[in-house]
Amino acid sequence: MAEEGAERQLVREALDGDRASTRSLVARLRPGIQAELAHLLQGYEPARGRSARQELEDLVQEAFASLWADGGLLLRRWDPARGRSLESYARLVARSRALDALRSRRRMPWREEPTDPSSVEMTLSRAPSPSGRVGARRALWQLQSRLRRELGARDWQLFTSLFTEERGVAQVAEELGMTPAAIYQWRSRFVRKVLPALAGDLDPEDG
Amino acid sequence: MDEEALARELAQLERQQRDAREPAWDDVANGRRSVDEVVAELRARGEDEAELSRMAELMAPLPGAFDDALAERLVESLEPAEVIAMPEREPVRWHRLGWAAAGLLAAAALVVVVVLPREPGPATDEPTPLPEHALSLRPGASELRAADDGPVSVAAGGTLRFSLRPATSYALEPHVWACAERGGTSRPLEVVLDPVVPGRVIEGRATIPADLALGEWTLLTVVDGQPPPAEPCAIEPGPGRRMPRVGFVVTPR
Repeated sequence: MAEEGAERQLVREALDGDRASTRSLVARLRPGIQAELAHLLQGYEPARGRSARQELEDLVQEAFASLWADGGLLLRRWDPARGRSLESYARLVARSRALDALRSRRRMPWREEPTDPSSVEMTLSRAPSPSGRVGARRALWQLQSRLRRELGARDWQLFTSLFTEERGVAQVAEELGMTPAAIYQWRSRFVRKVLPALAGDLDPEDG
Repeated sequence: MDEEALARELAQLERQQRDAREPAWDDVANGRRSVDEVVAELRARGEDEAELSRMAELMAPLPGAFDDALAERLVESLEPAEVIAMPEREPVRWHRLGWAAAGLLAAAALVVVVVLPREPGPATDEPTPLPEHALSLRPGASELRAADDGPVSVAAGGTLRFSLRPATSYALEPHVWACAERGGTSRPLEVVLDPVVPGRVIEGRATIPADLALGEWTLLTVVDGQPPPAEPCAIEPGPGRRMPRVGFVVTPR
């Protein structure tokens, strides 16, 4: 708790424009953000004429810019009482922002499969046969790829918080500055409209 | 289709991929181990060499100068803007907001914004005079200044951060673009500007094409009251146009 209190103080001082605190906060958060983005970029091919390292450096800067935007609105929203560490929160923002940036630049082709398919054991209930299961897994990867490509930063953050991390609606609402009703509405729309639209032509039996 | 189940499957896939990440790389991020140590360990385990090489490149420590420059720009992004007089203007394809745009725009939101429409006046072709601008390159994360304070070096494909300081204040929002010049040749450069406040220092970065020949070049920056012409590098100076230059060196990537 003492450490969280110290981190909140550090955030406040940094957003008040204190240089030493800003340097300290950057030094504290940057390694985790770099690691998060490195794992993300591992799944991409760099754009022509650019190295992966250059992309990484740009995205690290953009992640911090997002946290500091609007007078540090996103950074101020971090609250350890909601169960997420500052580093975890910064990583989530960085990943969401990076996906948004990569999508908008449209300069990196997305791989349609994870780097190590053998590490993922997936089944879909509607794919009973062995070939169907392989096809289902491939279809799921493709859907995941589309999801990353199509969702904006906030949508991705919502998907991650609600589904991947299974966090409560109230928690997510507070973290994103939304009302619980708006979260429920987003969730409903995502499940009923966005997901089916993205999954539309994927065939799980196509192995 | 059971969309709820599909959403859960996707979430599980995300979790499994996250869990499958090699934890040794977090040791690198936290400074507990070096990139070389982790690469050696993973290589001994038979990890894919190409993936290892890519990850080693991405996880290599960023220089302290990167963090320092980043922190400085974050602090600057919180400083409120002063002059807010925005004449109407056409969008310019050479203008793109830089990474600090959101922060600076946020700062601008703290002050009263006054939008001044352009006064109707007699038709004239006379360009609006602009003051001289002093061009300087600021070493950033990907640029290095020579030890003897010589020209800034930048790797092909990297970016040059520049600032243009006007000799006197003015109210016109300028158009800015940049070219790399050498001998009789010139190449337009992609420019990303921080938000421009008329009459204040203009800051931005120019991307050096990866295929630009190595060696000494001149960075031409153009500050103009008018949008860039079709051939943005084939232009002459004029009262409504300032064209400061500075040398730089392109090094191998």
